[in-house]
Amino acid sequence: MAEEPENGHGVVTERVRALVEALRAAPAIEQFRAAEERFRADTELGRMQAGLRWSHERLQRAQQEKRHDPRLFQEVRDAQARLQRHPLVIDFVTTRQAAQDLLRETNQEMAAILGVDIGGSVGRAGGCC
Amino acid sequence: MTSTQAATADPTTVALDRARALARAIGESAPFRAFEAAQEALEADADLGARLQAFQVREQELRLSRSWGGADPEEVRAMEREWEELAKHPVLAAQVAARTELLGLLREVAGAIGEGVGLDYGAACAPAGGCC
Repeated sequence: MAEEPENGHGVVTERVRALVEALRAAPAIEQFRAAEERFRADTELGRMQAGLRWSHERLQRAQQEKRHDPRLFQEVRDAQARLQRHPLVIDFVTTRQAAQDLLRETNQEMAAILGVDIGGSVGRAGGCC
Repeated sequence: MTSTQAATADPTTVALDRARALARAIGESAPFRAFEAAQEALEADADLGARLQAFQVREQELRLSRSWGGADPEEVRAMEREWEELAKHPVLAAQVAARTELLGLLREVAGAIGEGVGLDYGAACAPAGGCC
């Protein structure tokens, strides 16, 4: 963020830094970052994700060509189910949820003071691993 | 909270304290104060408020028509022209400019927090979506 202390921007920047530092030390964020690192580093998981993307692309192509192939559909569902059962994915999703809950809590605390929902003002629904 | 207390306090409690401190700083910033003043001026102008409300009602009706696929393109263009006229009003123009400025600051704040923790702050605070 740009430093513009004359209009209060510098104070805001400093307090954002302080908040980020505190958040990074909070267990919910620490656990999420560690889980994310394990998730990204796991080569088997990488292969499983690539396999799902490949199956998904084939399914989309078949649908575009108006070919109905129940085996392809089942292949995608199986690949998704295998990923969802993987312990690293479960850990990643669970810890991410806890980290997001903490961020939502900070947003609620700020909204109570400002009367403005910061996350809601800039946010969008969705997101995926 | 002193730095010694902060060092021994529960990290989550510290984070929430710091979120409140950040909110107070935003509340004292120039963009937030300018927005509050502009919003107050808008609310104090009864005539402009009535025009704006009437416009918003018609805009809502048009949006509904659009979602049913029945919006008249000429009506859409008329609404756009009307908004252009309305937005020339100095009080409304000031409120729109102040809101844009404030949103810019809030986006910077959300972006910096998100970058710092490795999560999209806006998406985290928005209603839940789907996943793989």
